[in-house]
Amino acid sequence: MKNMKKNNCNSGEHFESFARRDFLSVMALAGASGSLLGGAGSLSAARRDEDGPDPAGMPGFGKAKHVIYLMLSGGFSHMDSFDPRPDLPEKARGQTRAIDTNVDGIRIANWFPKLAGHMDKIAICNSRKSRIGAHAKGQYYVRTAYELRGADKHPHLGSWLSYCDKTGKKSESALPANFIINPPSNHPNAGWMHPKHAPLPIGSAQEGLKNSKPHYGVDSARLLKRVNLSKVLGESFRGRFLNDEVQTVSPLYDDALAMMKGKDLVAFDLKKEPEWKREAYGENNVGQGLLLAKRLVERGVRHVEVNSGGWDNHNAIYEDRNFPKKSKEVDDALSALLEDLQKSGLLDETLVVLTTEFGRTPVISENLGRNHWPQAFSCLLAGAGVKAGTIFGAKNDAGGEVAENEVSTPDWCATIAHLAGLPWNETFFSPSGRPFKSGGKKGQAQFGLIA
Amino acid sequence: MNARSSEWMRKTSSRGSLGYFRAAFLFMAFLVFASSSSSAEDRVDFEKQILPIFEQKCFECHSGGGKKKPKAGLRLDVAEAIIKGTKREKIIEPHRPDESVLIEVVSLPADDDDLMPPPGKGKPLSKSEVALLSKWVSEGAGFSGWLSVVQGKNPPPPKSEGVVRQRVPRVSDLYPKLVPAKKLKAAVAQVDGLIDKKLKAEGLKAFPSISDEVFLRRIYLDIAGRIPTPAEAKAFLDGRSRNRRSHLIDKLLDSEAFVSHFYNFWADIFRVRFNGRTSSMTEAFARWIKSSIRQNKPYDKFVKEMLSATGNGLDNPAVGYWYRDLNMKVDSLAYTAQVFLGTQMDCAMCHDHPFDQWSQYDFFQMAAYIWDNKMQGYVPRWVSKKTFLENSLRIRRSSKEEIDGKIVAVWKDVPVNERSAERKRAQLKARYSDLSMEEIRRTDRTSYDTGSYQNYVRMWARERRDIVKERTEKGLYDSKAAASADSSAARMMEDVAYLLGYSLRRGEKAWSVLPDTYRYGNARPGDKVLPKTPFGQSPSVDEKNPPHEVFANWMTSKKNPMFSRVIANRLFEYVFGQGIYRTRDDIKVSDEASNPELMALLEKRMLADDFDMKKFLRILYNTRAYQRQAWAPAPSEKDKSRPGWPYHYPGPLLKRMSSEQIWDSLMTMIVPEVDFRKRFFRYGDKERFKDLDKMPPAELYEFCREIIREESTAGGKLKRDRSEKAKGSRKYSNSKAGAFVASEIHAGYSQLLGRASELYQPMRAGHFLRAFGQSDREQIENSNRLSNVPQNLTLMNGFVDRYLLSESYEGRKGRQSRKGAVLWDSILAEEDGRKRIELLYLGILSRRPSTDELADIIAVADPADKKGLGDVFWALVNTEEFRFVQ
Repeated sequence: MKNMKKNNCNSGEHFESFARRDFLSVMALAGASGSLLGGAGSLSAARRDEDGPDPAGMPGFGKAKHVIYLMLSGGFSHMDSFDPRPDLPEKARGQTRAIDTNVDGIRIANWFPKLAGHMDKIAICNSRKSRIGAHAKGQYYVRTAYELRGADKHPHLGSWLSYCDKTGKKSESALPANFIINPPSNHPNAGWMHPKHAPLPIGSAQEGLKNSKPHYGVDSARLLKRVNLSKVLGESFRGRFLNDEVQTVSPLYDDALAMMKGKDLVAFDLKKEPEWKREAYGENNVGQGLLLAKRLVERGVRHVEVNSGGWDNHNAIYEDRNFPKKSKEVDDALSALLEDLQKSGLLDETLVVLTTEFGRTPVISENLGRNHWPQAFSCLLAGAGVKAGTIFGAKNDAGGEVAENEVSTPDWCATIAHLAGLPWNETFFSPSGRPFKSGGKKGQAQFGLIA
Repeated sequence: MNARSSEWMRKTSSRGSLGYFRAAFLFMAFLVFASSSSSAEDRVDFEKQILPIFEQKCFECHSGGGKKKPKAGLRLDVAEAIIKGTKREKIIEPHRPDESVLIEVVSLPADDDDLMPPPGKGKPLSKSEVALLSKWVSEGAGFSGWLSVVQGKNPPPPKSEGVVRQRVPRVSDLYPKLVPAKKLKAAVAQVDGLIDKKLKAEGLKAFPSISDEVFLRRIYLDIAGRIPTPAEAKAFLDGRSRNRRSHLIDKLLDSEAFVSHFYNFWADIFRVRFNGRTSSMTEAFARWIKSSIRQNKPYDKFVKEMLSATGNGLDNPAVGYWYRDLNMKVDSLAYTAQVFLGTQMDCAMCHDHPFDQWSQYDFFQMAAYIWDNKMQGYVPRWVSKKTFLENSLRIRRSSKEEIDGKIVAVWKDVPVNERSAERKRAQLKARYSDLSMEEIRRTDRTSYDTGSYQNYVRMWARERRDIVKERTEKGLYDSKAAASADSSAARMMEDVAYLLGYSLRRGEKAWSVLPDTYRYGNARPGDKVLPKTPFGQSPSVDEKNPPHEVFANWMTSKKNPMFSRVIANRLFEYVFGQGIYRTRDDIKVSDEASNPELMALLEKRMLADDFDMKKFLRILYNTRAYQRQAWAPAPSEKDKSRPGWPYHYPGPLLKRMSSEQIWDSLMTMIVPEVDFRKRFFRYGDKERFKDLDKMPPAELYEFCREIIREESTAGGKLKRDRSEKAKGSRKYSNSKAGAFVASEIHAGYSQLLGRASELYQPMRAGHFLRAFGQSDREQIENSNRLSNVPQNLTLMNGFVDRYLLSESYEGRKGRQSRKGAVLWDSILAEEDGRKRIELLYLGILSRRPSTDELADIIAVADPADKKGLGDVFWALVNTEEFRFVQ
């Protein structure tokens, strides 16, 4: 039974490179699997019953055909966003006030005035909790639902979507299923999966897919001739080194040519949007990133992550260039996106995620900032399948601990996976025979966030 | 973990077996009911009633502190661990004994394999004990304040000194006697001997040796970080000397190219990042790293200078190390431990490390050495501290007046009057109303200390910029140049303010403070923690030995085994592609080296040669093992022989070039003498700037104007250079890429073309370097060597035609001449067709074409035709052979 499932999900393909990190995953075969999983015996005999019921029959499953994933890297302060505490002393509440939203009884921080008008499309999760208070490991955890422990490499959500895409080819479009805009260097990418499931990186939304047109004076025939010549001249080297790392380069030229020819290149031309709209999203990485994400989603792309840095407000959090500036970017961009998606009807099939690796201390530090705080924080979901206009979970009075409906990082990942139609209860096996799930080992979709 | 306990986990976790024991549960439930109803008042006391059962029956396998690891990862001697359960699952569901695995496994029938304690290991629990456990669970499984066996309820003194814990992985003492590094051949043979011995023991065969051509390209890329020029390639390939490989290694290790390449390696580790307004400070640090490499500064000295650095970026650029994590001392300590001790303690910032031995307390003991690090503004020498303090009670106002047709700023110190002083005090009070007086003082001092000097000068400089703007608008400047010089001077003032103003001060305090979230029993949040090193002898801190120096000395001491081990392993990995330890910076006590003898030899080598990194690298590059074919098996071979850890080095690993290697190799084809194209740095001459803090703002401004004027005359060439952008290069332009030191040979090349180490750090996202995986310098060693479509597009549709195939041309009528790419120019200068192709191969793939290849090419392209030849050029740059380091 398990084998059948395996075949469904491309797990025959794999990628094992010689890069150092991959070495480590190979090693993990021998050492770690024994200790973590109770011996190789349990690997082959997968436990479907333990995996729990099939999520496909549960509410909200697969409602989202697309995911726009806004990652606020550095740690996003919940006290200054979706869980403001105006009644606490200033040392805790900081300079943040609470404002009303278009949903009765939900109040958010004054830094998000526009988003307050879209609260009816949003579900706030006020009970997020992570186990990790360091950036690199925390970001890895929230992107993959697994902890980074030297040995294994795990794929991020977008790669899972590409991996489990049963429709196979990405429609008629030459665009890949998975994108990352403003990629950070430590992005987990495809992890143990074949590199074709890795997100295509777009360094900057404003620049789009660079170099996607032939150089001046080089027509497509000549370009093709060049590529072919290069393949011929490279034959002997490719014949000598048969590892995936070398072998993967040449097909990427074909992909590149296909993309250059495709009609969807226009997606990267943000100038095609009216100027007022570009301005509404905001002329910055977040704004233009989300605008590009929207344009990609319109063309059938399944997953777009937009990464935004600069949230690590250890010092002077309320200084204009810090939180106030960054939050305005998010406020403008996210509001414009939600409005846009709703108008075009795409909001019904697009899940919008705002997430971060951890929150920030509920008390202002001596450097007038807030430090890392994984114990309790806030994130949000909007769009397809989301129980909009609600708050799920709560923190205690001081805003520092989860008081009800704790949503762990794997739970959070499983919830998104569920909405995106991933069988998060099901175990898949990496080429080295290790079991993985898209919502982490123990993640459970949280139906309080799902309509 | 042994078979028994894994069995235990598997079975107990299977819900299927539950039904089998329903009878037992019913019986227990009855007991629970009976006992809880009979003594509703008496709750079970964990410590008095439950703990003894655990102690007696379970601790043998399920507790920490012993020699053996707790079975199934389950510890019953720590409250938190009991709640957590085994590695797989919780063992207790509070209030629900019949769903708790713990109760299930202790109440199985005597013949069941899963019974706990396992038959033979201990007597089963009595019925009353099971009932007690069950009652305790049904009451919620509380611990009423009990934390752990070691900690008990009341905080005992922190970690008793008597407990000797092994904290450093042991290393074999089986190494042979070390040969002095002077006897190169013998020292090299020693390394080879141990690699070959291991290969033999593992039944593996070493790969064949490489040809001179492969060696040439590999050694250039590995040491110099770029491919050789055709001249360099020919010099080696046509050489006849028997020791030419060894000579080339020596030559390259002493070259400027090595400095550039080795810098990239360290920059990725130290996360060198030029940040906006404070980038001069980081630039100074980057230059310091380069100059340390150039001097071949011993590793221990190199690290010690960073760890013990104090002062500002101008006096002592090594402070850039700490400056990277300004005001985040906890993080920067975790980074420090990771880089130099090879141990990841970042978990211990917030809680005890779950998989390693580090407790949060350990971490704060180590943090105590650097707790008093402060990046502070300081009171400049031109003003007394008293005046400065008085100044802070005044409001400074400026007004702009026009005097004799010039706009001048008039500065006034307005004393704060009583009313506004009152208001200020009230503001302060409102702002910090929840703080204690002591905190107010601290907060105030912090804001006073950090940034007051900068703020003062910056305020002045900004005013000045406004004035320049206004004057420009009013047309009061004679020329544009004069206006821009003035505004550059004002900007420079701000720069200087940061460079001098952020100064690393080390206090005398030698303790750290536990965070509010500390929740272990041995101490309380807010407690002071005294310094102690995580292993080895903790040197004492006193007046003569301030904490940061003690720490730096301990870290870099030859007695610190991890310090030498980490660098030996790291450099071995740098050369062979895989370290002898599985990871380079997460070495745990339980980790073993794949070749313990070799590891021991290398460590000893490192110590005996006094941390001389060049000597070390020289030996490794000279080994036979390094000069063998690279390892890259096909996927089909993987099952049997895939590279993994442990790897036994039948040859080095095949790698894609790093982003910097690709870029620098392309630069080699474009810019002549590319290694000597150096980034311009204004504050290079320390002497000249050392007295800046003696100057009041007005004087400082004049000084800056002077400097700017000088630069614009001396760098006339540089200026022209800058305006000379290659046609169409705007896409690549990065105003921050920086300027280079003007030189005759480089005039006429775009300012965007230079080695990666001489460009902005890191380049912006979307730049060629980043597309190919240059680190964003956010995390330690964050670069990658993945392949993707945007990389291919970059090489396909722009770079080659725009830069590699650009020709020199002479400008007419006073217009600028442009310099073309050196390789392309030299190929075009060659008339013989075959020689053209040979040059192409030498310049791109560092070898001559084979007869077949030559025939192939001549069949499709006429070497006399520029267009056809350009296509061949393009094709070669786009081959895998170009991208990989064989």
